[in-house]
Amino acid sequence: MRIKNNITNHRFFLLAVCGLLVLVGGLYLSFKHFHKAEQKTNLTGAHSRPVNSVDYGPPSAQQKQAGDIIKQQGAPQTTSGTSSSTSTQQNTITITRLGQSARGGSVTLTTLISNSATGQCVATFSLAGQTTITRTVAIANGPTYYSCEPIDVSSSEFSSEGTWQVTIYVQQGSSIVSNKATGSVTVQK
Amino acid sequence: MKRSLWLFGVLGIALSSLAIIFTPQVHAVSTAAFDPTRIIDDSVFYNSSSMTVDQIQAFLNSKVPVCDNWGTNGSTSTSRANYAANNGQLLPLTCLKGYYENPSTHENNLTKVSGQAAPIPPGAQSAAQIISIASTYYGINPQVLIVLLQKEQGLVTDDWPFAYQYQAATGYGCPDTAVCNSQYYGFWNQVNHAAAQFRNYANYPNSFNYVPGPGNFVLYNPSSSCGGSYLNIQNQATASLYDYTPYQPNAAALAAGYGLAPPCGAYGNRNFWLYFNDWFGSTSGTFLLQSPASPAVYLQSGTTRYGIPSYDVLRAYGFAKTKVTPVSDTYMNSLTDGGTLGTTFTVEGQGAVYLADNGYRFGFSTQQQCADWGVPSCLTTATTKPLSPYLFSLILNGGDLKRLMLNGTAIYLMQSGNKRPFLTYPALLQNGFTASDITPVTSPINSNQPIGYSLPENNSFVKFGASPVFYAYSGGAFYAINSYDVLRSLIAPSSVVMTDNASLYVSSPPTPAGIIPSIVSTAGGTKKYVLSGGYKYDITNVASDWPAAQALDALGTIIDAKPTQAIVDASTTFRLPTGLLFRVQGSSITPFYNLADFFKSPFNKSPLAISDAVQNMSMTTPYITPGGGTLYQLTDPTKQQMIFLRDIDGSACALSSQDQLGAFRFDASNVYRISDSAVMGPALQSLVQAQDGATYIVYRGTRIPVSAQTLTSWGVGAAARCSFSNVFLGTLPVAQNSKSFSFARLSSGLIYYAQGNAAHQILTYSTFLSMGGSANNTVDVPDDFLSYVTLGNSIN
Repeated sequence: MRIKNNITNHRFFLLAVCGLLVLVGGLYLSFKHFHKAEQKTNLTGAHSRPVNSVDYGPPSAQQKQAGDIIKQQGAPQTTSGTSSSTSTQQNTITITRLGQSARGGSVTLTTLISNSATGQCVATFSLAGQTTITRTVAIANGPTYYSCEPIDVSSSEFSSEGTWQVTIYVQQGSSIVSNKATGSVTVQK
Repeated sequence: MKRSLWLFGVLGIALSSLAIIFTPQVHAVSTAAFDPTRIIDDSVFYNSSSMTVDQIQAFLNSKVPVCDNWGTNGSTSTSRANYAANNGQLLPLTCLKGYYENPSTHENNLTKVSGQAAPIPPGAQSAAQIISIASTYYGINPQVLIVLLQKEQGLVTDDWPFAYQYQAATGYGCPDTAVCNSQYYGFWNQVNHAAAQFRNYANYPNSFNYVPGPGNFVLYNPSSSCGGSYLNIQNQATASLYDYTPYQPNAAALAAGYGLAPPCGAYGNRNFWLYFNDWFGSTSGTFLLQSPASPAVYLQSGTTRYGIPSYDVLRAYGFAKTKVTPVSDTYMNSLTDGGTLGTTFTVEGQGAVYLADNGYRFGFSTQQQCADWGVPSCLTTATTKPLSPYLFSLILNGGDLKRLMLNGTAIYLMQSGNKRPFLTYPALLQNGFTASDITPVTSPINSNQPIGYSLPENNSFVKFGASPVFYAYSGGAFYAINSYDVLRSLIAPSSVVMTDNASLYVSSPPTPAGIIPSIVSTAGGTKKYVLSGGYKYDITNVASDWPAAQALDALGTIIDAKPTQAIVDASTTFRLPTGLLFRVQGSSITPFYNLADFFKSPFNKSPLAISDAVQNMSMTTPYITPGGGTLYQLTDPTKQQMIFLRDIDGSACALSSQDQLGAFRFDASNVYRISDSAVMGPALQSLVQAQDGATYIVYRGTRIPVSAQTLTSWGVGAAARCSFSNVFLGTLPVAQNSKSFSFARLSSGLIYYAQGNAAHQILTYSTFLSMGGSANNTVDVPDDFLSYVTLGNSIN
């Protein structure tokens, strides 16, 4: 009889413990869910963690592979000094920004040059019947790419309003060593 | 034993479940949220105080818990140690968390002699210190630099980094399509050049390729054949990332997460965003900033910060729930102080001015509208701040600001900086507005204009505050109603009656266009009314009997709305609250002094209730029903002892004694004055004439019919007598013994006998009996009986 009672007590204790654990777990999950929902509404972006919530946990496997990928690429080729090496590849120039800031404002032209490049950039602004504007600027070494130095042309230099055709290319000496990137800009004086 | 095992099993399962629940979970952010126009916000990018040196060190430690200095780990066919040796790397390797470099000599602790760990050079700084110092100096978030080190060379997580990874740690001077420039080599160099470059981008944005705003063409890959797209870059930080790494991820690169997506994938900015989000939380800082130096909260717009003076301002812009982003003092101070933000704003590069309220923007149309809404200087920068297009996009478009403001339940006309309340919605419509002219405003800042004069509903009644004066409002004009009698006589069941307790009229009542009297005319004078007693009476037909009416054609609608209680004619009588009944004739009151006169008159229809309308009218001679029994006195004070009654012919009959009051049952409590010019008739005797010609002796409140034969038998002559109406005489009961009589007994007991057209006194009672006298043929008569009979000899 006493043994039976003991068994009953044990079962009751276990059930109580399990119930308590489930209850605590449920409360925790509920809190976590609602807390997360609140965080989301506080953020302007669609991210799950607020600004400056530093993760001091270990990196993921994918993140750890970043260094290995770099190693697979091998040591970078090196040059020294301020000039870049001459590439044998054809340079490709791309217009990244072309426009007038506001009526009467200057016209800005920026570019991106693939590969390394030496020489200079030549830009022309032309409109039928109007005097063509030509600008020659140096190639700029960005931290991770090359480009032509940004070109700004005052609106006063444009002889008339209208949509001007723009061409820019890289020139080494008298040779054009890139494609001719073209675009158009509507000039308002 | 079995039971114990079972117990442990159950507990184990339960605890394991809890362990799973409480284990920290790594949530990799989804690239679905990547926005190429807004990779990171300025407030985050330039927050140089986000981490201390110790926190940076702790972070670096956490990402490489154990550095594989000797290359003993790895599962490739070639061991890490061999791989390193094959690539010219000397062991032991140095992880970022243990890297040191002297910023002046650039001597570091990377291995110089194989197998020998290099000592930390004197004066060297740890990688964490180098990062922290550079971030502070250039005002760049150290987390940005950490992520840069990871995305360029994987240095943060690499547990066996090679020396050349430190050489080009931030990729500075290493074009994707060209060889690296060794002048920028070295960890300190790399970190500082990168940080400086980011500062340059911020300080001289137009000197570089990408700037905030539209029209930035960003390639997907260094190979231009992969194409690109135009981006409307939202902020300088994002522009700076493109200035540093000029490619954006295409769809495939985004879909790959941290993975590769050849041939056109570009990963720099994608990985920057992924690492930053995974390690440091959202890159989307808010535009509300707070620095440690001050509790003040600022709104960042581009490179300008505006002080937020109150929570109401935030709520007006809809930013009340936006989280405030902590930033460094350096970053805060780097922003131009644009002053204090109000609720009017413009958009950079545009001239339009808007009002912010409840998260909506409402555009001002004209300078006049600014003045009407109480912000006369809204077109000046003193109160109106230019916001960035991005902030502008966050504020919902409420359309143009309208002329009316809805605030709470009140609707106001905004005019000259005041808000004029419409007292009713129909008032709004009557002023030519509709619901589409209303702008809802909730902000107390935008609704604190002084209250102006209210706009009542047309043809309504309105009073202001505690003042008892009501006004009828019609056609934009107020007409004062100074009399409560007129007011209650004018208000119809359908009338709109308002009390304005708030507008400027309460303290400054309107100047009335007129005062509404009791007697008014409308419709060009063709309709005339009396407003009194709670009713409107049409006096058009008898207007000449009333004082001149005030023309109030403008109030025709109000007056017409009141139902006409009665059309007054010449026979109409009125009743004052005091009970006085009267007629109006010749702009005067002709009163009925008592009900008898009234009921005996031909004007005895139900009288109309009236009040103040006649208070200024003079009183004329009262209407007196001839023979009606009403008593009068002359107005001459010397003759007031004389009391008269009006004869049937209109003359006055003087009472000869007080006894006649009782005899005729006159009401002595109401004795009215009549003019001294009244025509005097005969003195009142007990013998009177009825209107129908009958004759009576009035005695002790009764009347004794007297036939012509009886009169003859008593020798009564044809002298004039006072005449009474049959109505009056009808009020006196007929004496029971009224009949033809031959014996008359005075109050003294003397008995007279009619014989030979004369009255003969019977001297003895035995004689009376012998002559056939009895109670049946003897009539009691008043003492003046002897004054109108002919006296004969006594009978003994």
